[in-house]
Amino acid sequence: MGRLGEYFKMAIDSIRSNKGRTLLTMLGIIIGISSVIMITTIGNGLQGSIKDLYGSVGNVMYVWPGEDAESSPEEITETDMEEIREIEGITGVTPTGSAKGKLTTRKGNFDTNISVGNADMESTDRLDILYGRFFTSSEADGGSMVCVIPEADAEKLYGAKNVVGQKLDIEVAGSIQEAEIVGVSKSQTTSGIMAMMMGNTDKITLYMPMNALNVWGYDYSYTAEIYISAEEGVAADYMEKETMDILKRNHSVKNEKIFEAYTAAGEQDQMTSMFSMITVFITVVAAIALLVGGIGIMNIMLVSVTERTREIGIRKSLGAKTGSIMIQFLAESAIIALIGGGIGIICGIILGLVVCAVLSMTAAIPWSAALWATLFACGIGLFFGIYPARKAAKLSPIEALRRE
Amino acid sequence: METLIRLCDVCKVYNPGENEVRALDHVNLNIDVGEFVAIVGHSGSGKSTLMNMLGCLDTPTSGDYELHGREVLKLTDNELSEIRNEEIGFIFQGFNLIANLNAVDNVELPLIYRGIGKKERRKLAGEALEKVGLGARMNHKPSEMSGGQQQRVAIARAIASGPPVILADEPTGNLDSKSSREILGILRGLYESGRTVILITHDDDIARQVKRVIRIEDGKIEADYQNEENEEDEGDVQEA
Repeated sequence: MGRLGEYFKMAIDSIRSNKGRTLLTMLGIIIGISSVIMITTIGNGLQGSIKDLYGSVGNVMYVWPGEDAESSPEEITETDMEEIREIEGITGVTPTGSAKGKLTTRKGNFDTNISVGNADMESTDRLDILYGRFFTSSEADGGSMVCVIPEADAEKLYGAKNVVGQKLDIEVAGSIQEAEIVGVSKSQTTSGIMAMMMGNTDKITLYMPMNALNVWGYDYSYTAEIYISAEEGVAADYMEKETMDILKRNHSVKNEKIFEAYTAAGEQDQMTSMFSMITVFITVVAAIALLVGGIGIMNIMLVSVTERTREIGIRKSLGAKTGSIMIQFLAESAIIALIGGGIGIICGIILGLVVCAVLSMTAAIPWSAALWATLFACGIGLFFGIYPARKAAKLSPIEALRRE
Repeated sequence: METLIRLCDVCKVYNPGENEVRALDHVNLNIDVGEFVAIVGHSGSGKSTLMNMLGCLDTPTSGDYELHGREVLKLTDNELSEIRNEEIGFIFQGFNLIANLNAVDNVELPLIYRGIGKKERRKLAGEALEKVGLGARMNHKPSEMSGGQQQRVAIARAIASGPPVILADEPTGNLDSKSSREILGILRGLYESGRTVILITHDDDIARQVKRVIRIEDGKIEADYQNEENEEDEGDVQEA
């Protein structure tokens, strides 16, 4: 075993005496491995963010008019919603809509996006109330001018979080009406996240009863879109099927696409499978880079064998066996690949962390990928080292000694 | 005396066929343990081929070669490596040190291939370098030493593992006369301490200083004689 160590030491000695060339040889491996690690780091971060995002969205489903009903959306009636609410595991059903408006406080003028629905919106939108309360069913039915605001928006409007009881003058469609803030919710809400995904982060979000829109002169009695929330663990396809069955039955739909459903979980699955496809693609590209890197190592080892023919002859005359020379050269190519892999992993992690930081994602260092990359690099070094090493080991000692 | 080397009807033929070159032509030769032998010949005489043969770097085309009781012809490449490692210490005209290793690392090489542990190796290599008078230059690279010093490192490498045969191929060919005398002195010392020393040279002056001379010409042994009692001009070594 000690002798194996000696061969490694020999390999390191000769790598040391050729630093510049070795570094250039490593470049292929460095680039290959670092790109894999970087992409995996970013991918992990992205996957994590998506998981967080959908995790906070919760188990929700959105139903809206299908493509065969786009011009004249079918109304979803109170009866439909009542029946859907009966499905096991369903926690809330609300009609949904939104209106754009403007409002003014001492802090300035703001654009607002008013999310409307019934009292179930507290559950469908996952509104965790921090101060005050959510509006009640009777307020919703009566179209009271009450609203709930996320804490971050409250901060923007008033510079304080607990703003329950404050009155807001809201302008919608040219008319200004007063609404009272009855509750403040946590900021991570479903519509907050949707708004963030659409890039509307600068708008103030308000939650109000749908019927309150009538006060501004909107007629929102016709419901074509609804949100449904379910308990944690209720399968997305079960939710979808049950809901669609009720709607199809009540509206005698056969094969036309009158209603369409969207579940957050389904979307997440889609995103995840898209990411795995991207990962596969990147892995293939990286594998090609590593292959090229490996050929680079083989090339330089062949040059090295030619250059060091005399050294090989000397070693053989001193009693080196075929195996000893072979191990020495294999060790050399494996070490080159390994060091290249190591540098690649470090570079990849650093680059990945930087990109994650820039995109403000939680970075997760892919340790298992790093381990695989190391093993793979080592394997490449060994595999591509075999041919040059054999060439070196098979040299006849007199031929080798004769060469200057 | 015990026989160390026995060559029996050895031929070495290059390019067999029309243009064949008969580098060794039915050579018969015995060398005993503890002899000091010079193999003398002009270039092209076949002396290098003979040296390669004796050193187990090459195998004969026909004939028998017995080294220390082992039939060399029947050995595999790896067994030949083993023999070179255990039985033979090489000293070359061009020193053949490995450039990026320092003196002591160069001397350790054959000991590494023998599988001797690090501590023991350092000790043996150190002793060998002391013996050739280079105890103070253990960590010098070949490029930092004179030709004579490099050749002394090569000698230390040849003797470090204590092989019975020292095979020196024109060891003074690249050296000035002062260094040559030193190197020959060291070789003589090795012979006196009981080792078999075989010197290959084209130089009759050197041959005259060696006890037994084998002259080779056109692949054949022309003469094989003992020098009379050495009239050493240096006078630093005397036969007991």
